[in-house]
Amino acid sequence: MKSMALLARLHRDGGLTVRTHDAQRRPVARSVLFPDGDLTTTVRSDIDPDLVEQHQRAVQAQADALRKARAHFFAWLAAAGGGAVLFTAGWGTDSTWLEGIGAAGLVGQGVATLRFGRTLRAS
Amino acid sequence: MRRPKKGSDRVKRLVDDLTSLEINTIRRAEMTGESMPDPRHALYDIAAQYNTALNTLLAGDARRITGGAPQSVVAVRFTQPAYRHGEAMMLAVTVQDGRAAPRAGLLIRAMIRSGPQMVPMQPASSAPDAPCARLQSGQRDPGTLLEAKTDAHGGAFLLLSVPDDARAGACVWIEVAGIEVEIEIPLTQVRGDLATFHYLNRRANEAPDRGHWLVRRIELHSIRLASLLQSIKNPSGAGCETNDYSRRELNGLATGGETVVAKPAPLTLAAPELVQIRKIWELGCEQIVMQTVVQLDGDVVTRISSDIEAEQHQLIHRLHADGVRVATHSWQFLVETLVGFAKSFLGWFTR
Repeated sequence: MKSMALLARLHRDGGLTVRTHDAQRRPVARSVLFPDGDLTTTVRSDIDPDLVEQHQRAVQAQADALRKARAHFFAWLAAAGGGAVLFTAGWGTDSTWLEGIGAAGLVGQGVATLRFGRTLRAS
Repeated sequence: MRRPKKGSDRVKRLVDDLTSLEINTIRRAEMTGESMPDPRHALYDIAAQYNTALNTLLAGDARRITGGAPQSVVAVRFTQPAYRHGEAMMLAVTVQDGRAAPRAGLLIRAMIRSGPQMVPMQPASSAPDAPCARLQSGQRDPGTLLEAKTDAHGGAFLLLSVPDDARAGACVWIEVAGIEVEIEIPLTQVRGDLATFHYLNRRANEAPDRGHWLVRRIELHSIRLASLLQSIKNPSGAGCETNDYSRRELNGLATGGETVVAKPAPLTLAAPELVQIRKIWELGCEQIVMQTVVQLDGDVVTRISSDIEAEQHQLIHRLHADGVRVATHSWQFLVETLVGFAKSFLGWFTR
């Protein structure tokens, strides 16, 4: 659910914003991660080096969260797609409707986990 | 209501977006942490920023028109409005022919957009001889030509009153020695509407220094936003979305009062269009100090502003380098995932 909320926010707002504030609560750095991968960072000219580190870590964390959310989304999509294909293929057989959809879902999920789990680990 | 758009167009747009990656780093003296507002407000913000920037960049600029037969140079100067008359903007236009001798062929008209047409401004009683076209029913107040005079040296002076200085579409039309040219009248305020983005594009086009990075950005982004609005169907069913609202109307207040009215319906934007507006809004008129563009074929181009080449800007270099690393990693993952997904999807069907 958290993954889906992150993706929903990305597409609703057109980008994900990461902000870093200083001790006076003034924004000193601001990065926007766009859905197509572009990144825009705005920084105050007098930013403290420690805050730069902090901002970089926050951007990295947000990018990682986005990658995982996308991997989950595609795994889910692949499972749904695979399930739909298998369900359609098995429609004319003797198996019941419930058995067909259950088996299709399991096979689809398995294929997706194998395929996208590898990509996720590699990232 | 989402307008119909071909699925192939969307896939093409997505593929185009994914073929290159852009990482920008901007340095500012002051910044706010605000997020982009509703797209209608964002368009208003962009237009207002661009207009202020152009007015600053082109302040005191005398446009020069060169060419014609025989060779002629005409200088046009707009005097920035120093005072207002009611709600109208007062603007003086001085046209000076390059030649000292009186010129018979100099013809100047103050025009204003009324619907799809440009109509001459109405002359005030003090200028009875000026060109005039009476308003037809439903046409916008075409402004007033308060004074028009020529001098013995081929120069001309116009004093205009534009009824609503937030509405683009007023220009001066000049014909001299075979040259015909329309020059936009600079506005102090603009809306984030279709006419404004065309106006900003034309004004940036007219700028003598079109090579300036900000003029170039305004020229390109304005026409992109105008095209975007033109591609959106008007919810009422007629024509395209113009986004012709004042800030008060966008905030749900009637013009000239505190009466609360219904806010305009949200713009119906596809995801790539929203991203386009957001990117333009984020950049605003800020100078990009470092930019890296990575192409899918492996080309990498990094541009660094001469202002931050020095050693003391190592922090910004580090921040940018880290941004490039994070963005390329995410981009690589996205492209690989999409390719993997497409392959497995096709595999199921070809099995």
